[in-house]
Amino acid sequence: MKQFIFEPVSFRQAKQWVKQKKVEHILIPVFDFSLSYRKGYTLKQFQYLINQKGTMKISINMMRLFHENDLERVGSFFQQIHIEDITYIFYSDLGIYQMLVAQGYQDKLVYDAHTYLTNARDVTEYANLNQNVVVSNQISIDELKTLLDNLSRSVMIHGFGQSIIFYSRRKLLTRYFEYRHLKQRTEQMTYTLQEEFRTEQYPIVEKTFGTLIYEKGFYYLFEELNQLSHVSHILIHCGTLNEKYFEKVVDSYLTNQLELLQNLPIDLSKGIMKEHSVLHKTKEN
Amino acid sequence: MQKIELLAPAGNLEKAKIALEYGADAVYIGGKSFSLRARASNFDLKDIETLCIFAHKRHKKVYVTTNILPHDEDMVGLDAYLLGLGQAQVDAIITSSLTIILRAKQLIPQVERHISTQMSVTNHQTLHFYKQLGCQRVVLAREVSLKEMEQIAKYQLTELEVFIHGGMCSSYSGRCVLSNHLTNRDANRGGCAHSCRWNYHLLKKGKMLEKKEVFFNMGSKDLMAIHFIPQLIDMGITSLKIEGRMKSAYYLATVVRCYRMLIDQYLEKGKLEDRDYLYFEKEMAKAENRLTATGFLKGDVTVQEQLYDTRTESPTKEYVGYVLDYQPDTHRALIEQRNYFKLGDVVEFFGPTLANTTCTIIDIVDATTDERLDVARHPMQQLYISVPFDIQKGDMMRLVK
Repeated sequence: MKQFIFEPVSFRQAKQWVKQKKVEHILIPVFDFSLSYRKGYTLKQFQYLINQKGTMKISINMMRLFHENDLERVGSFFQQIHIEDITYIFYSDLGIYQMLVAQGYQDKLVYDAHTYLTNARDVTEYANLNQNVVVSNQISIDELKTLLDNLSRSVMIHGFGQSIIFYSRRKLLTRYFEYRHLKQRTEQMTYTLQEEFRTEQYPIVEKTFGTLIYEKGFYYLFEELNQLSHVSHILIHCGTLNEKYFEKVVDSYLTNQLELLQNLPIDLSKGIMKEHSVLHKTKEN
Repeated sequence: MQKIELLAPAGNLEKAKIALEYGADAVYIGGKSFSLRARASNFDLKDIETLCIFAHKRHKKVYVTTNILPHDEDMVGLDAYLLGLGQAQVDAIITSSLTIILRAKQLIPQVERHISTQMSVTNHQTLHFYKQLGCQRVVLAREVSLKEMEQIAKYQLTELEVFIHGGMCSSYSGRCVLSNHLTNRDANRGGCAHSCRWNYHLLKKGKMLEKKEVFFNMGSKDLMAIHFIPQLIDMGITSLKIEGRMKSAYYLATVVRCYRMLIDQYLEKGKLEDRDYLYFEKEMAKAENRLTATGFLKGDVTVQEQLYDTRTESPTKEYVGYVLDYQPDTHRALIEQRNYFKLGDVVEFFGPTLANTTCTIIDIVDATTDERLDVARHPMQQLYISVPFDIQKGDMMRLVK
């Protein structure tokens, strides 16, 4: 039985869902530890949700890379919370794995490195080290089907969201505004990038730890979900959507009504999953 | 003082040999499978074996990159390929995939396993992870500062390899799929289209922030770390890595030789003066045709490290000939032409053991027809010229502009 994990747009939406018992499992960002488009929750907000959650499962998103000086803050966060209260910790920096395995929390760990888990053998190896893993959505749907068919256990996949297509430690907006002598805000501001000869726009956002660029629209798997084997959980991310629209997305998946999703005025596509990427190596004979 | 490895890239056998002759302690190359740089001219297993024999005779090493983020179809033939690398006696593989690490450990345990910068390792806890997997070395992310490197090095968990020269990704390596989304070329399987170096309009709430002809850029200047080599040696880094498997033999010879001299000078004297750095900067400029900066070494990047001006700089000296032979009794050199030169041009020779030495071209003779020429205009043409000092096969000749 596939379960959904939803990433709410805001603390307010998370609070509502907890109160309404709308969903069974949520994924929330804390501090600046995630790569979420939205601001991460404070410790107080996190504790509030934990105290109110009842039977709801709460997992946390710690998807960024951590530099040496960040480790102390991460360690301090783990000390201030009861890790047992959290269902899963989604991470992509193997330093987090090392820190938590040393404390005996292997069963909480979900490795989700966006671009890395692109074949069945690596998925299996990482799954053996963790409680679970999330397969990359930077492969074609055909590749995803084959990958899942080749597994002997269930894993997680991305069902809906807006992929991060570029993750940099550089504060690209700040530096550019300095270079151009422009007085522009970077915090909590969304800009978009448009390549000089194209029309598509890609959201770019600057965080305390660097810059993220997101894909132009929203990828989604819906009809395909029933055809996929070895899937334990499906992640539904909010991306840059507002609460109102994301509520519809959630309803669409909970009630299995594709039209709710398709009626939204957003750019829906199969994203990078629609075709096989090209220009990779030719094999040696 | 601790010996440190100078590690150079090579796109083919000729370049690999040149890099080793010009002072690299080891070279890293891509095979036909599992390696990034799809357009680089890569090595088949026979070439790899030939190179290993060449390198080992000189007590030098060969590392082979197997650092794509593989899809299922790429995994076909993995075991055979790894066994082939083991048979060729490569010293290490540089890799990203956990499967490749584990299979290599099982099939070719004598070959070291180095973690590629594609894995963007930024802290010592991650080093613990790879140490436990049996990996001997980690290539740190290019985003790690000198201060952070020093903190990581203190744990002495694995050997550390850091980039000192060459191209910089604007994003964390392995975490960028910009090229995939803009061109359908897989950045993590050798197809990067360098979309981070393109021109973009920056929009705020859907409207262009500036005039149409003003572009937002996010590309990075190349890295040049000559001023930081002493610190890197002192903190216990194992290997200093030059980027650029697509670069020319001349570029490699110049850059490798420059870092070789710098490292040796520091190890010998224990310090380097400002005038030494000035000399090395000038040497580097003879081949470097891209803007350089210090990357993340000093901490967060500033405007200085970003590439906003897309103009290209040309090297201060042009590579015009490769020395095939020299007869000391007649002072006659056999040169293979690489670029246009003519009678009266002042040229500078340099080589693995030859200090920069200049002379004027006073004669040019076609080696095949014995015809006297005023200009050398055909690539790869073999020519005799007079050189009034001793040079040897493998030295290079560049034009003094």
